Amino acid sequence: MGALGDAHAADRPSVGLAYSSAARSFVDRHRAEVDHIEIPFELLRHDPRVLDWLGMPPAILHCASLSIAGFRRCSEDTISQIVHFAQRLRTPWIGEHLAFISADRSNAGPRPEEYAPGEPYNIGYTVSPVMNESSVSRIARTLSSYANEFPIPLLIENSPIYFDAPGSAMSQSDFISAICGQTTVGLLLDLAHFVITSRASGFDPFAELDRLPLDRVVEVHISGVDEQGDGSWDNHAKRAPEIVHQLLDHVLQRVTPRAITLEYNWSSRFPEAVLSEELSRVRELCEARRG
Amino acid sequence: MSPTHLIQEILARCLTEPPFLDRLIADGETALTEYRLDADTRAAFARTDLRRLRRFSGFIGKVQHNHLWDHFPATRLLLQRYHIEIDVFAEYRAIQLSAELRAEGSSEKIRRFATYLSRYAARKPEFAGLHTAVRFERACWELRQSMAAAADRPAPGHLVDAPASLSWRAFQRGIPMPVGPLRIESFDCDPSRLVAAILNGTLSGNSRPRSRLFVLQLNPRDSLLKIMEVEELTALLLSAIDGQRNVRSIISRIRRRALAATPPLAFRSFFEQVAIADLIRFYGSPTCE
Repeated sequence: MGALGDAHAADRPSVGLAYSSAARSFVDRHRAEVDHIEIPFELLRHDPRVLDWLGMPPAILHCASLSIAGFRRCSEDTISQIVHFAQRLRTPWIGEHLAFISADRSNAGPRPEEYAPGEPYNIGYTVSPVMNESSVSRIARTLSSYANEFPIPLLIENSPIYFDAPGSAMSQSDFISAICGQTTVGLLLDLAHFVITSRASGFDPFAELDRLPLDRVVEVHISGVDEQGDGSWDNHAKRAPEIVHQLLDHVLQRVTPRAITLEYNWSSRFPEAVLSEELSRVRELCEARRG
Repeated sequence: MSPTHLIQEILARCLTEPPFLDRLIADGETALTEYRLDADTRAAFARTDLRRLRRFSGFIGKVQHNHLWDHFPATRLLLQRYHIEIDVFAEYRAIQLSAELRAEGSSEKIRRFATYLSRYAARKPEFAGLHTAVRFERACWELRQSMAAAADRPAPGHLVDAPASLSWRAFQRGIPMPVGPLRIESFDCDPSRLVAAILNGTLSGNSRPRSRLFVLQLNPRDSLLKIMEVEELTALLLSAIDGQRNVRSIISRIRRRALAATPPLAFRSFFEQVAIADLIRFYGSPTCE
């Protein structure tokens, strides 16, 4: 596999896919359509044979294990594994969720044996944190600490907000801006998450996008959104809605991210024709804004 | 511990201990007495949409079951069509996160979810087709799971190409064995037609349900599913064929349960017909003539 920077000019985003069996199969047969592949660290830890993929495009390492918005530091073992895979993949950066995935257990409750006794709560999914000034300071310290561990930059990805966490006192845009104000961290802008958060918070997504420090955006994620009676939900098994492409165009009018990744990785039956159409659509948008 | 630290701990507990979240929804004040929270934080929890948090927990459960849909595509389409995916997983979350199930392997987890969903669907007839779809797709998945074990089973004797040519004495010593993994299930409609209609978007929901018996069999040569409707007696006889009992033993077994007045020779045509239908093969015992 090559490195991402080798393949692409700085004025044109690399357009790629998130890893899945369907995406891998697609890449093997349509290699020219895919500039890069984004691979989750958690998959590599579970199945390092993915690295044996002959013809793997340049790779970007994505991660959901650092729990950077949590209070527990990720284990040294996990950190060293992330470093190992980052080096193997020659990833230009590591994308990580602005979220927590685990939490301390100060009070195990009346029936602590029902859940792994003595262990921290491990949610198994990234959750948007309490957004307030104290979280901003703590996350900024955490990011500085992790910056010393990794040989490449860490990007933070906006999480979808499905409920207002008690104790939150800021919008997500203000929260991210405040973290960027205290650090040099880059952004991984997930536009489906952004749509979900905007709807849950009642914001106009286009106006809200302009409140983010878009000059920090290094990578963009595209994926689907499920609309239900009580709000919007992330769905990587479905084509991105029109508004996600409109928001991408809005971003491209302002900045040129280095990579755009289509995250259609929740279904092994994701239609190849849709993958092809979506890749072309994103490329055409990039070309239009470049010209 | 700061209020933010405690809040994130409580949120994490809500998302990993569904009974705690249910207690919090039912009586927040009492559930939170375990934690030293200041008045502002308690008030913030009182304002939080905890039912939305419960739905988020269900959403996490849904995402963590993405691997299911390769095996249950029609079931998934119906969950989406009826807009109940998140509700179903929110209700299932307590089972999913139970210590008992967390210790199980992936196959048992799929089995447990399918059991839960078929029970859920059985008490929700308004979700037409769901009960049949999940039971049928589960049966297909279990047949595929048992394919390797079935292929490894040694033949009980030498293959008899033309069982009709055997003497009645030799026939009775013969051992019938399913050609591939086989199940007999009761459905209220032809499940393969139902699933096809779901997958191609033509499900009408207008059929009149009535209980019918079907044989499902996976052919080890091409992995294709064979499905055929059968009468109760055929189902009873097929269910006694296990690749170990000989014909005499199967007939005795059936006559004890039904058809006691039917002479043993009358069963012969059944075995010959299911062999012709390629549902079973016939093996001669080592002492067979």
